[in-house]
Amino acid sequence: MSDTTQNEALLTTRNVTVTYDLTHEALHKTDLTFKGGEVTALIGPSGCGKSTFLRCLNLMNREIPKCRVGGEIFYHGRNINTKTENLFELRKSIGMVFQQPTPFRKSIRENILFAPKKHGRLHGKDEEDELVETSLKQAALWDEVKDKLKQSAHALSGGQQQRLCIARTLAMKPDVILYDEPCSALDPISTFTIEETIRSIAEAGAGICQIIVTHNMEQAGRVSDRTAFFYMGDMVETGTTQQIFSAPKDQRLSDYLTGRFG
Amino acid sequence: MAKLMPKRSLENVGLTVTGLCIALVALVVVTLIVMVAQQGLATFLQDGVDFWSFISGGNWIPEDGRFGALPLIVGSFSVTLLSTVFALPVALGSAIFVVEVAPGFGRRVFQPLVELLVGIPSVVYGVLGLSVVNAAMRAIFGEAAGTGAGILSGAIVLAVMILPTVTTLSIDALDAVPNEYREGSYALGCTRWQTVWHVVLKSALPSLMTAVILGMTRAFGETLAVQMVIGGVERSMPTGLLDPAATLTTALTSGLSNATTGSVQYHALWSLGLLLLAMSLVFIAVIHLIGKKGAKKRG
Repeated sequence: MSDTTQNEALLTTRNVTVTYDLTHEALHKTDLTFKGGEVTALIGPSGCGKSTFLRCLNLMNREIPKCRVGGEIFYHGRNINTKTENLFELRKSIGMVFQQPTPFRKSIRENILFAPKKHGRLHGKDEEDELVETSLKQAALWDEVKDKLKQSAHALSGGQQQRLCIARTLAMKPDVILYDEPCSALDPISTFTIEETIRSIAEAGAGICQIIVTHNMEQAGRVSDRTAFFYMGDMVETGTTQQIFSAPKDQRLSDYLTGRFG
Repeated sequence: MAKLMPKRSLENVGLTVTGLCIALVALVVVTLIVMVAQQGLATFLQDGVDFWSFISGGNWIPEDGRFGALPLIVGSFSVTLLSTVFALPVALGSAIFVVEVAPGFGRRVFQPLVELLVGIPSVVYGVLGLSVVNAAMRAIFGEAAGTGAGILSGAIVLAVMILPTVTTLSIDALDAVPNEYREGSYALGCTRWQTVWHVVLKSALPSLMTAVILGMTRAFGETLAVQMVIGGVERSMPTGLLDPAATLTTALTSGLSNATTGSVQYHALWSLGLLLLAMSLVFIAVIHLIGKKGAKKRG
């Protein structure tokens, strides 16, 4: 990650605060910066606000009634946490992968092409074929499904479905991908493949910024360059993953790492 | 405390009681089918009416010994299909509103309102149809509508009657689509409308089809309200939607008063009943088939 263009700050949050039901504050004044080409892990015990924070970054929290997001979120230097921001336009370049794989009730091919087609990006079958192939290759799924692209995506295994969701996200050519505990519904082998996929996307040099919420600390250690630790709605400590795991400064973080709670 | 029964014999009592319930239900179903089949088939086996002329004959004039049920079959299917065509867009639209647009208002106010429609007795629909729908037909189509009674009137009344069934089941169908699917679509920058149309409706398709077919089953079997607005012309084929006609159910009811037990006319009415029964079985079979296919796809 020596390339200077890759180290541009893509996303910066300032004083981001989230309240549910108008009174319950789930996240308190969080400042973080995410750079292109980096993988950042958000860790912390259940209910610490890490997923809530992640869902701010593509304004997904706006889909939840009575959820308020305060503060500023800068994407390419522009504050997106405004009333006038076009959420749908924004989410074309900030992709998201969820805890449960969510392939649509369509064929594998149509799952990839659905959004790009709807957004009028594709012209002709050649472009479609190419996009399907490159996206599936990036998500390390091509070899397994290349002969059954027309089959229902629901026939795939859980891990394959999740990689299809990653491929679907990549097909939109985003520069940020958010992962909300993408492996918690998967077996260890599928988990390993997903982690490799995330690493290969990071190392492909496309400058894609990846942010992953995980409750699995080994996973954070394996995939991320930087880590941020959340606790009870506060972002407690952030740094390089190596520093966070080997030399935590905050007592709560070192307690968490040594398994005193979580 | 009273002495408890030993566990084993208590279990046996439970098994016997529930088993008897099942046996009773099965007995009722089997007896019903056997009886309708026996009486209905007598037309062909005992009275010598040709089955094909029964199915394809264009004149239902029992007093002349002419048993062509095709006008009734056509009547039944046309009111059923038309009423579904009328009811489906409204039901689907309301379901989308309730689930996707305004769940609070929809659930609290709209859904109970629609469910109120279920409780209204069919005779009330019939009276309303007679005085409102038939009159409207006369006003709109003039001479061509005659008295206003006809297939179109029947279909409109039926559409209102099946609306709550189709709406409620469609609401359940859309509601059962996991929220993750919607978020998955939003995460790709799709708008609400794209999400509803391409993701939610598509995922809910099998359940929506079940909703439609249950609505059709109800429309197919409804008698009284249809009888009051359709005109009751059984003897010949209807030639247009404004023509007075009859359905399998209405012909069965109106024919019963003229038929003496054991006569050909009497058996022919049972044959109509058998036809109705067979159609309901087909509807139910289709629902099961859809359910199975849906389960396999989701598997």
